[in-house]
Amino acid sequence: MTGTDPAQEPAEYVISHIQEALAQDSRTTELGIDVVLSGGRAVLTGSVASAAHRDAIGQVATEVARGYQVVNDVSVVACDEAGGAEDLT
Amino acid sequence: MTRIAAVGDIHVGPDSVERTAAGLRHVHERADVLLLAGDLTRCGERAEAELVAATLRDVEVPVVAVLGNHDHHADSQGQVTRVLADAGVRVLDGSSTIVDIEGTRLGIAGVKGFGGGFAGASGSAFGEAAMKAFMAETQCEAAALHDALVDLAPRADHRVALLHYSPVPETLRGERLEIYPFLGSYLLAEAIDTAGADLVLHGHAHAGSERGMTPGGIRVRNVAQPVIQHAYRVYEMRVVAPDTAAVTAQA
Repeated sequence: MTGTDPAQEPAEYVISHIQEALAQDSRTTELGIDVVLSGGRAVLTGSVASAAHRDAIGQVATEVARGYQVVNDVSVVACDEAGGAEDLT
Repeated sequence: MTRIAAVGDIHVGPDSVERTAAGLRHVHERADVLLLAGDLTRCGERAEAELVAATLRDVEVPVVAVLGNHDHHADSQGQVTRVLADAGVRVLDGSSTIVDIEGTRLGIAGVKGFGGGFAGASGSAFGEAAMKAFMAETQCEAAALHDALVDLAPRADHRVALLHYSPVPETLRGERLEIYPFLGSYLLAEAIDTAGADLVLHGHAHAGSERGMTPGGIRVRNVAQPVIQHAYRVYEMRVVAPDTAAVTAQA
């Protein structure tokens, strides 16, 4: 049996390669991004600390997505002042 | 009343310093102390630690922190700790500190923690050396947390366990079940329940849930910023006088 054609790589491997790139690439070092492949698209979700970091995640994913169109649905985490306090007494 | 502000996973970078600092600017109006539950940086480099220090420079309450896995990635955790300590942050690593808040002694015991999984589905220190080393890391972290909490017991009015990894699965709800072993360990909860504490704070699980409880009944809060979606969360605690406690118990 011959090896897998890189152009027809199983989805599991594509997802793992994208997530591994996001973890290892110094532009992102991000572990918490979910990747779903659907209809030729690689949809990224999760939340990060800034818009620039979100954009870097889209860029790195695009570089390794092997023909999938990257849809960057990663959000920027809200960090406005705290709301009400929780009384633990 | 003791007011504890807490947040984890702020992942400060050049593009988020101002935003993060702005969110913390008025923390002294809402809380008496700020606890940071690890992952202060993105890859744990000294330059990033200096950004974190700059972010915390204007915070007017005592700041206590543990490091997270991201803060270890560049193998420069010693430098990260020194930079933060030079900025006045008390960085805990199997150690404890007490913050005096108008006569109330808030004790904080801190460790990074580590993974392994939870009861019924936990790894064991068995087989290959790598697997033994993995679980030994968690066992050491749990033992250090236990000892730090015990050390605080006679000296503190309230005790808080501050971690990066989670001691319970409840605050991981929302994360994929398959990655739970990389998000925390029951060994941490067992150490906390054995030693005693009033509150447990952790981060790490960005897609998790805020509220949980140890098997021994101690409140656990996941304060990862993507979970709480604010600059920090505030938790309030009062010292319950013995007479009040007795009345409550009889009610």
